[in-house]
Amino acid sequence: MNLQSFYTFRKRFLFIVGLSLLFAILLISLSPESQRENVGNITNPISIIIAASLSVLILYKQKTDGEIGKAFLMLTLGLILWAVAEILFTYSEIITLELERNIMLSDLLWLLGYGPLIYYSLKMYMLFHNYSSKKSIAVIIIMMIAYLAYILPLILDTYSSSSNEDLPLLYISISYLLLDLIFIFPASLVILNFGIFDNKNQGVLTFFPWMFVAMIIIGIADSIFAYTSVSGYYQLEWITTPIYTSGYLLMAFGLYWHYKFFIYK
Amino acid sequence: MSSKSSANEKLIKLIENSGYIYRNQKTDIVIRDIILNVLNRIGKSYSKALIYQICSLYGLSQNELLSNYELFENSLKRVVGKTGYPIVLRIKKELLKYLILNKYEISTKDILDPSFNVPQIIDKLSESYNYDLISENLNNNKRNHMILLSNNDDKHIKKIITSLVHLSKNISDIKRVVIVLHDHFDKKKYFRSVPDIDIYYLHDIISSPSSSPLSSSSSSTDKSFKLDNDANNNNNNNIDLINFQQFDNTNFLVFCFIDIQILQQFNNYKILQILEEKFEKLYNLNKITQICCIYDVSNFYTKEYEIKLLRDFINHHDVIIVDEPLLMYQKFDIRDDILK
Repeated sequence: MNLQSFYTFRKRFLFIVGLSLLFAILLISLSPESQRENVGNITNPISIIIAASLSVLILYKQKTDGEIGKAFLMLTLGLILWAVAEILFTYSEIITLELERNIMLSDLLWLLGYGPLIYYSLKMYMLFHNYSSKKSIAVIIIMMIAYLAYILPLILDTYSSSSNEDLPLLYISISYLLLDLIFIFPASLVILNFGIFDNKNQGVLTFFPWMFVAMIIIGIADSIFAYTSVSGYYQLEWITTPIYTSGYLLMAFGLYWHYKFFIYK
Repeated sequence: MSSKSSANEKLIKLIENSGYIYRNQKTDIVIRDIILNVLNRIGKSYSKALIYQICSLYGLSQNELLSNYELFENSLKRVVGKTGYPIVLRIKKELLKYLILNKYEISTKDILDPSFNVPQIIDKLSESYNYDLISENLNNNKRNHMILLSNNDDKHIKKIITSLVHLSKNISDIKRVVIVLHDHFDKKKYFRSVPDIDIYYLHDIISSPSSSPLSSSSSSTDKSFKLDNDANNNNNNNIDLINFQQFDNTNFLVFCFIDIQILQQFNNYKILQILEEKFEKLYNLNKITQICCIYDVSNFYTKEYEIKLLRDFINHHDVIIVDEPLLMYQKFDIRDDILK
């Protein structure tokens, strides 16, 4: 592929990405109110299954040699755990019609999935993005502390004032937030340093940090999900589904980009 | 600075177009191995894919990409942007490790200096390899007729002259001669501790024909060439600048210091041409002959006439050494190269 045909491909690819995200968001948001959450609970596992399948394909082609091989092995493991968790969650929500949010096997799988995914994000950060200035590290740490200082009291207040007395669920919800912060830390540094709107530092093939942006989006969705779970506002849970779907879809597109340009066929 | 580097580029082009080849492939091989090693450690598939993508996006061959570091770094930055910096840092680290392990000259200050970049390390490595190649050539060949195109970077010139003088100390009955066609020649700089060396200041006579041809210079060993014919006959090929027959069948070491600017004067050009012809004759006649012509090209402006004149003189030599960066070229000989 020469440079000209590459740019044509990139333009089409970005168009498809935009279109897919818009379609997924509209599909959930424009569904009848009673069906919104169910639609979202179907799009979530579908989008993460696509991402996990692409990750398996990459692992098969790329093998596990080298640092990137090990990082992708962990990513695949994490995505598979999350995909199974999403399927189990959807099953409990749609088939067994569990109305109240309880701790489930899916929570365990989600929490387990964080380990390999954090390994992946830290490894990729060290491999390709380890040039952050002290200033940007300080900015991100301050932002994270500020975020925690805001969200933790909010969740705790909501919990104490709500009818929900499921303490383990509170701990699980807070664990999601804390674990999210671990992989959001390198992701935020990458995005801060990357300068998405600054062409000077972008490479032709690395113009967008797909995986890291997806991680931030999933982190945002987790915060909302933790709040709605603890507060007992289950009717608002559907709001998280288009965000999760967008995050998983972005991961899938990022993985396709990696498969297309960084795997030797 | 840029005009100097463009002059150097033109000089190198001139040498390559005159049928000389650069024999040092070792630096390229080392760099290529280090780049591949660093990329393979990230991942073999990633490494192959990245090289393939760079080559196909910019229409390069893998050989072109990996044998020219600056091209590699620029292409890498264009293709992967800032994410290429850690790769460059790893290459730098590996190169420094290589230099230290192979005991090449590198100071702690350089190692710790973050601005000491990969091209500078490569220059250092290349300089060391080229100097090894030059030393090998001096040690292995009893007969050399070399031209040093110097930008007044005395470091290399001094080293090469010292090597040649040192080698000549082991040879009995050797005649050491210095011929100077340069206004700013400093005897002490190069030959302070060299005994039995005759220095001929040719330029004095050429620039002031009225002065006595036998007027001696400050040192007892300094001499002026005796012009057998008078100045009016300078156009004539029969000019005999020096009695070269005295050097026939003897071991002979000669250094000739020439300022490129003097070639503009027809007389100088003619005399230098005759000198080079004499050297060539001696080179073919004597068993041990080391002829080292040091051309000061610091005032070389790559004008058309300069290039033409220089090409005429370069062609007399079998080895060309350029400083800044230190490079060695050898005359391309099909027979030799096929046998190798």
